[in-house]
Amino acid sequence: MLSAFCWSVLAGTQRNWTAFWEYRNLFLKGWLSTLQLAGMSLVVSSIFGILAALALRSVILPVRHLALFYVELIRGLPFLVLILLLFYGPAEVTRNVERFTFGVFILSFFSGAYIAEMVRAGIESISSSQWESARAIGLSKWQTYRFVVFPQAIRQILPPLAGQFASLIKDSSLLSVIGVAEFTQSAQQAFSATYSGLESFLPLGVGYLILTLPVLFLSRYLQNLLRYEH
Amino acid sequence: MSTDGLHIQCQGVSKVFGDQPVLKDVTFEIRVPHVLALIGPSGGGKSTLLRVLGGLIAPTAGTVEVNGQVLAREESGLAPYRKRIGTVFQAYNLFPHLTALENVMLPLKEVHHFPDAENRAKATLSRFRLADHMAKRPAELSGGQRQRVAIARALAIEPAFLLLDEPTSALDPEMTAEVLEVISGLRNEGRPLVLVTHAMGFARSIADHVLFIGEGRIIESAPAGEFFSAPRAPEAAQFLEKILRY
Repeated sequence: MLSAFCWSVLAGTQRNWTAFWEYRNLFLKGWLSTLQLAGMSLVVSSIFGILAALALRSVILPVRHLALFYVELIRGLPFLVLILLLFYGPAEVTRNVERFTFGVFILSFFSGAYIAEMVRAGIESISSSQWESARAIGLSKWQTYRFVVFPQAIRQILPPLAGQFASLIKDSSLLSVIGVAEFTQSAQQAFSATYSGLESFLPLGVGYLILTLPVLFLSRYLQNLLRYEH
Repeated sequence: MSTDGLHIQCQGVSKVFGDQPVLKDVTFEIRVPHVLALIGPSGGGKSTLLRVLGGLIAPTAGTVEVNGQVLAREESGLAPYRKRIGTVFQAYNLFPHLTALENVMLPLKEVHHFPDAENRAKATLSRFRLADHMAKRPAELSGGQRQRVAIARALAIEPAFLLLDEPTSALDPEMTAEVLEVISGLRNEGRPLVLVTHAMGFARSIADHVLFIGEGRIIESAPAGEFFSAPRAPEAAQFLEKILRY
């Protein structure tokens, strides 16, 4: 019955798959753009995340409060609201920035807050005896992070970070509302030209799954790998 | 410098953690040629005093002078002092993501910038009969081997002296013997040691001088022979009697 349903959905008489084929280049371009958007945002948001995590642990109180404000503000806001706020809020600044760059920035700003929490948890998973040993052999604070803390914390951070990358790919679809030329916008363009909804949005869903499923599998794999390797 | 022994002066040293006083107005001056043992009941302040002597923590009040150098209060002054001292803790000294060799090399290379860091590390590990275990991570080593690697790491930098904080408390008897043997070897080569230990027989055989510490104070300071055969302080006598009964 399910297969019959699927068949009718995919091949019903009114279906118009030639429309999708016609717009295949638009889809491909959008898909690649989303991949690029997510990839760049992963790098930038990791930088934001690490800086915010270090700021959360800072001995300077205002720095710590600022980082906490950033993390909790972002985590408390829906991504769509954040996009609209940042895009229509400081309009004079953001209007002049290229959409794609703005997309990378806003996605990284959003995702960075979540990564900050992952990095913070990873750093805090390192026992105090490790910090003391590092001090005892004369490592500076920066050397302690570099040689002792980060190499160990990364094992803790990687699985959720891979999961966050999948979220980042999905969240990037919301950037279509401010006209960033990415995958979802491509599908919307194809839809408004052909009025074939399923033929536009089913490939959209499949395209996202092609990106997210491997990442989710990677996350699961890392989780198992790092769990047993002790 | 390593053969000059240790000259330690503490003047009114106290340390408070939160609202918990751990060291209370500790004042003493001692010269020991080789080994100073810190002995006393758990929670009495031995490890804290050791950390103060090692520049790992700054006292809340008072001054500490080691071999003529007055210890700084602030981190910027303590850090260079600390680099010249080798410290070994009870357990978890080593970095689990690095091999034995990498553990020993890390301070040699990154803190002391020895050009021959690798050879130096290998030579030190070989000296402690760890040549076959250099490529292993701590998880693949026995507890005794781990402590020997930790001692090798502390020693490879040619420290002015060594601080050992209950280096055998987390080990079973066989491994304890293996580590104590290494420590006896250090005494024979003349490097000064400060040792916190519960192994009384060992302390008796290795120490020149004993500080008996309890409730944050020095209760007795005496040459090891005198202390173990006839402790003057009743607390020390009680402690020894209790520990040696079994």
